[in-house]
Amino acid sequence: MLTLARCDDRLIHGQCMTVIIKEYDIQHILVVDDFTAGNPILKTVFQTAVPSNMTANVYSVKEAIEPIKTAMKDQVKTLLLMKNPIVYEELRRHIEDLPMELNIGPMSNRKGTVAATPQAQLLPDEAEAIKHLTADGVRVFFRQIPSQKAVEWDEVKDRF
Amino acid sequence: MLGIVVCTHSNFAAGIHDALTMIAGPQDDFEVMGFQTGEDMLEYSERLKAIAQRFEDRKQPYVFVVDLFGATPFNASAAALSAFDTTVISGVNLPLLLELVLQREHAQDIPALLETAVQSAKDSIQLVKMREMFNTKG
Repeated sequence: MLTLARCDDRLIHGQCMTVIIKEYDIQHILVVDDFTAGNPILKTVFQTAVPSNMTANVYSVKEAIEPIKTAMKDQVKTLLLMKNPIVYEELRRHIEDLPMELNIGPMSNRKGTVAATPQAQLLPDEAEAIKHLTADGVRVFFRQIPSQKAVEWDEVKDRF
Repeated sequence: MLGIVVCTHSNFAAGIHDALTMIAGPQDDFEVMGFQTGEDMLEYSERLKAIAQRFEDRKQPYVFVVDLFGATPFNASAAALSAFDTTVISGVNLPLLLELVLQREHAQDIPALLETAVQSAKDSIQLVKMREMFNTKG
């Protein structure tokens, strides 16, 4: 099952490994990122550097479609991890019944970004993707870790 | 002599280096690389690779020591070192670094040194219960 769909531009890292995985009792991480999937070294690092009681796979958007469909049917608690909401919008074009909730975690300050929250900075095309997702009824909320209060897109959308 | 490169989140690497030198004195061939908020992982990894390359060019053995397995300092180190025959130790603590720096000057067998240092670092983590420490007889 897809327990959580989340955007985090560092993908698998300390916060993900120590907080998110424990809070959601995640057993499998499904990373969807064309760049990482196309870089054999990074792909190996992300797939290997997980605790022995869990697994991680890295896919391009194209490769990810079947594994995501499988994950939605099985009982393995799966974290779907992407760098940005554009990827989720793209995945929704191929998979109709993806979860109607998208969590935005850390997204770094890059050239041209605007802060949705201090920890989540969005480029214009990333904000556009969120507009499309929310127009389709997807709840998009900003939160680093579950103990924080979620910030809804509605609260910050006027900045974009 | 074994080179040591400590890679952590934020300024932990610099801090643990300060603590280490307070106990064991100034250290040669010891680098600290803190990964800072907002920094790009791949750029950080490139900087780690440049440090490793210097040891490689000198044919000097070295070890990377990181704070957390699977976190960015580890991932960036692994990506930087993928082509090299070296080792990363995860879970840095002060006993580990002390063991490494105190033994590295005379150590011939580097893999054995790393094994011993990791084991002693694990053993150094203890629960010391105050009631038992001060009240053993009653």
